[in-house]
Amino acid sequence: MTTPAATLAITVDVNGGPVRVRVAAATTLVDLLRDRLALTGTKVGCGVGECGACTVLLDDVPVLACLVLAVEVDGRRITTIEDGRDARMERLRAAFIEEGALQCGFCTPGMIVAARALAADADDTAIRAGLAGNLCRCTGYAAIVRAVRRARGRGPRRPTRRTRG
Amino acid sequence: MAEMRKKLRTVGRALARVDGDAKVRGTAIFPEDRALPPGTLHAATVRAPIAAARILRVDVAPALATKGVVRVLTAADVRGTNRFGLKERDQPVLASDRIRGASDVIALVVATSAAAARAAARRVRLDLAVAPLLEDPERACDPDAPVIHPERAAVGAHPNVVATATVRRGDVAAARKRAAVVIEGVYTTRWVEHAFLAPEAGLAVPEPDGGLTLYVATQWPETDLRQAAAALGEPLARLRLVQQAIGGAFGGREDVSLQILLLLAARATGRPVRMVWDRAESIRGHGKRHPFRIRHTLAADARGRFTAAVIDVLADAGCYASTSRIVIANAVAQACGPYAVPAVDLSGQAVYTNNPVTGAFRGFGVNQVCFAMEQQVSKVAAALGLDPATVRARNFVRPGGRLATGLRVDACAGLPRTLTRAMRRARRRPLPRATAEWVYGRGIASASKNVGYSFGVDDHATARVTLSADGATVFVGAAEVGQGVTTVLTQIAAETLGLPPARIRVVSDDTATVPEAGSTSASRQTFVAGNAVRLACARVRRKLTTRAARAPLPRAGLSVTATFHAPRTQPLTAADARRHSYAYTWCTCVADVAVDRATGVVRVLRVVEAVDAGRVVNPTLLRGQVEGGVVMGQGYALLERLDVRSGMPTTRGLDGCVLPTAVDAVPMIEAIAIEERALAGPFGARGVGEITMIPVAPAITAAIHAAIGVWVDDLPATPARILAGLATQQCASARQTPGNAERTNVRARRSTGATSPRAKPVTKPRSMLRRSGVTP
Amino acid sequence: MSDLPPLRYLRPRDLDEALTAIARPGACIYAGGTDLLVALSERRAWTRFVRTVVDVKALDAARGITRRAGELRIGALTTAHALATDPDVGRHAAALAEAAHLTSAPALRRRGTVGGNLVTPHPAGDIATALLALGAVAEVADASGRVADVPVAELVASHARTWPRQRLILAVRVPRTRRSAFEKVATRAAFGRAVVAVAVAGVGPRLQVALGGLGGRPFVALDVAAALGRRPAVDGALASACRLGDDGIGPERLRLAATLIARAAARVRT
Repeated sequence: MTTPAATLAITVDVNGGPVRVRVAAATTLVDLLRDRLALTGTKVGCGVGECGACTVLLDDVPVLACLVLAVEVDGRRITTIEDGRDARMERLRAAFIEEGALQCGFCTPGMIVAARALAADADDTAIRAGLAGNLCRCTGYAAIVRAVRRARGRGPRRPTRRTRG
Repeated sequence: MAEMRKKLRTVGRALARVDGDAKVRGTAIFPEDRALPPGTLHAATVRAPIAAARILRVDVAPALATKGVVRVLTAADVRGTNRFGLKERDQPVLASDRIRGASDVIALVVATSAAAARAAARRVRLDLAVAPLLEDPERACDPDAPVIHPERAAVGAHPNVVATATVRRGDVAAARKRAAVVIEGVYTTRWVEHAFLAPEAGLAVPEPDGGLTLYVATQWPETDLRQAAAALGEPLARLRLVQQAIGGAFGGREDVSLQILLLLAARATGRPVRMVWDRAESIRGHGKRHPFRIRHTLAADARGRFTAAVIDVLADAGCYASTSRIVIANAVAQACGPYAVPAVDLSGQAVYTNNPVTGAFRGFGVNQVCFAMEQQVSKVAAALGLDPATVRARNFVRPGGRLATGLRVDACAGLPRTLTRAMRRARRRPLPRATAEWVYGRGIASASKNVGYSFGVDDHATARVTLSADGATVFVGAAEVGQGVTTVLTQIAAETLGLPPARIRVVSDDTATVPEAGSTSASRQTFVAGNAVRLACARVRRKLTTRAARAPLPRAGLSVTATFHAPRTQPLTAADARRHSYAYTWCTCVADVAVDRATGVVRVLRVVEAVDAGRVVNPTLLRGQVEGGVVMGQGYALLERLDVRSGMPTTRGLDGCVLPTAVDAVPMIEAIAIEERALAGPFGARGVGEITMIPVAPAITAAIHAAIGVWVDDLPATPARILAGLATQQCASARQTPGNAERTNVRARRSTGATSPRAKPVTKPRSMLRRSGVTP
Repeated sequence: MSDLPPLRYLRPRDLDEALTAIARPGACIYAGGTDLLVALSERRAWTRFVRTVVDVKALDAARGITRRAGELRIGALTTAHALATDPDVGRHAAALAEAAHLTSAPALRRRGTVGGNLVTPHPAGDIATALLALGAVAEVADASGRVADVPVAELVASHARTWPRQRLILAVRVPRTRRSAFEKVATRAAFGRAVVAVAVAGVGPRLQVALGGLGGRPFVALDVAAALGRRPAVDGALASACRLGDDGIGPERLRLAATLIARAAARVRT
């Protein structure tokens, strides 16, 4: 490519399905997902890389979709919260609900996708470090850490007990 | 009570939240996720470039000439009063003559794309005459201070006074004289941004019948529409609001943000209009937590029993009133926290400035006064050489006793238990031994929070229940803001009807079909909407049992509507402040911190919080409120800021707000529920949305003092402030002769400096603790 | 809902194509995008000239970490994540690995590059601070294809944003040392801007000190290095190196800097 292009045709694998689309060079990946592909699970909390709500996986690496140009992902693989194929993501979803790891739910898609990219054996410190770029204003993160631990399969076995006075 | 608990099947269970599945799959629809109807236009605002000016001319021609632009709306296009506001309608939808602050919108551009609307908005030309700026609330009542709202009738001594509140009780002067110790202090707190994760967004759609439907996320749908109807001159009956999933609120969605602008644009163009704010606009567009300056005098006898308190609060209301009138009343009413103080002189004033609007934010004025009061209580304990927990326990209001305002409280048997239980739990895990780098401290603070509107407002909610063969549908307009109210109401309905929760559907999202439940604020929905749901369900159940046995249900189901009115309250007046609130929650927080003396860096290692909010309807949700409130309180104590220069927020994004990340957040939070079930809450439940945050900041600053002997009286307690405190301490100890430093403060009955003798340690470490979590 | 101005996009496959591309009027080098895309969408003044983003991520010449005699060659496209996790960097340029680990947040570290950190001060240039202390040299290609060595100190001091845009940083070469350390106090644990950042490195017989967060951009503090170990002298050198009152620099921050310098130096010595 030696001539600057204002629009480009790209082919992207999104959640396992090929997508062909022509995009303007100034389109970000999150705009492609939300506005063109109607995958609105990926959220925009700031648009400038300060909240993590738009975290998606680009070839299995967590990136912020607000700071990636859509033209760059030509020929690559994108995983979003809508991906229903992945067993680990499904375990994370269940664990988030069981542990109360979401309240308003706006950070949740980015949080689950970021958690999906953590090493399978991440301990609490590694979980917190790995999720440090995903802000949550509701939960205080504690339940999120528990949920990620639980999804890993080594979480507390007992279901949450009711509180007594 | 154990028997009563056994009978309950659903209330008390950790039911999975009913909106969980959609939220973990990304299918929950937030306002900006809504599919756009064909022909949807996009709006963008033109906001004030400076905080104080007269508007001479607005030239929209260059914007109108921009490709894609359909309309550029100014104040002249607003057909109603062009005024809105929760308590006082003092805020223009579109400013026409003067700019009072950063939130003012001067024009609204409507275009065929968001990019075109934004580009055109940058081209609207404003001719402004710079006006004198009022930045300092302390100067707001100076004779020569610029008047922010000249059109408004004066409330107090000066037209810049938004509201005042006063409570006087007992003989303060006499009580002061008898005191063994009198502590004086001045405390300051700053603006804080709600920083809910989803910036404001919405869609307004004209309907074929001439109505307008608004798709937004709000804490109080009906009031949004009432304000819009008056401002735009629309009949209320033609406006409908459909609630979308809410990306956090915390009080920041109690005021109107973009609702009226969207309705205006949809009416003006006759087409659907969408607007999505970016983070910088969100920060400018909704109110902040009030900065307070609190002058505080607390007197106590030799045993640490409080004899008098003199507290004066000055709150910066910013350029519009929002809820400042109630915030200042609340701050004054709760200024002495959960303590019985026999003689008080409490006064508060909220003033207009050209600074950002301040309004509702989790805790509603109590966080600030609690910080000041608890610091004072800790200083009393330090000055008298008493255990800070003991001093608190000695002063707690007792059942049948009176709070500082004179309000009689019966349901407070749980209050001392929050303290004993939190302390007992905290002691199980000793503080680590100091290292070359880190020193450790443990701090304690207690708090109270009123549930519900208080101050004479009729606090009520209505619910309609329709019972059919497959289950029950509960219509109740309580906004789900993530706290889990929909799940709580599901459990209350299931319990009352004797149905499994899976057969209950709670509908709260449409003003066309759902009866009003008031705002989701003041920790009130569990109590008020919960009671309305319980009443409606109980009545429908009774109706069912009085029907002939085996008679089939009517096709449309069996419907009952019920309204619950909370116990009556009265306005806060200086003469009689005895019935300003109808219910309270109580909380004690113990924080363990590590302080690096050389850098001033503070890490919060662990927080134990015991809450008495009545019966726990759902332990997972309660724990979520505790953990979320603790970390928000930690941010308030140590990190968060919103910078303002010349009235304009210079913080444009989330980075500048310095919110706690997963790495900053307290790694170990232990929640203890004290379930004192007095009072008329549904199944004895009250409300827990705010109380969990309130005592956290003073518990952390008390822990900092326990570690290094420095009182930080200005929030946030940044490393620079801690280093400055340590430097003052070094100077002071260099000047003082050994032995007489500690006594000076008590003899002089005064402790105003940044440092004072080290408080008696709160606890003696005993044993290691197991994992954190909610356990009995 | 991003708000980027209209742009064109180019993705050169080799250095020649890249150098031709960045010579075009309105061309701006685009690598990790963590700073450029933010600046563009916020319409910062310096981005006004940008019409075309030249995505240099396919340039092999700017990739990879190579261990050589006495030095590491680190491609300018190396991400902060790669720096933080590469065993050679951890062993031979520990300050750089530590700085990379402490900068920004995980997903941003996956995209932000060494080259980008040298030309932008965001957030407070942790990686640049470490490279300064280590005495790194940048390989810079000009329009003719000639590659010259430019000390990182010169690059950072010249504020590379205003550089002739026809030059492209290909790599940094970092002298190998087992003695280097990075210390930082930030506004918070992730995304944190440095209140003060300090890198100390033993290169040859001497210790070198670089400071970040104190002023507009990171810098090498020669007098501070010379005074190491003598606290009053360090304080004096710091006071003259940083202008009090600039950017809110008060006595607390200088004390903080002195503390971090002592801690980093102690780690380097032992």
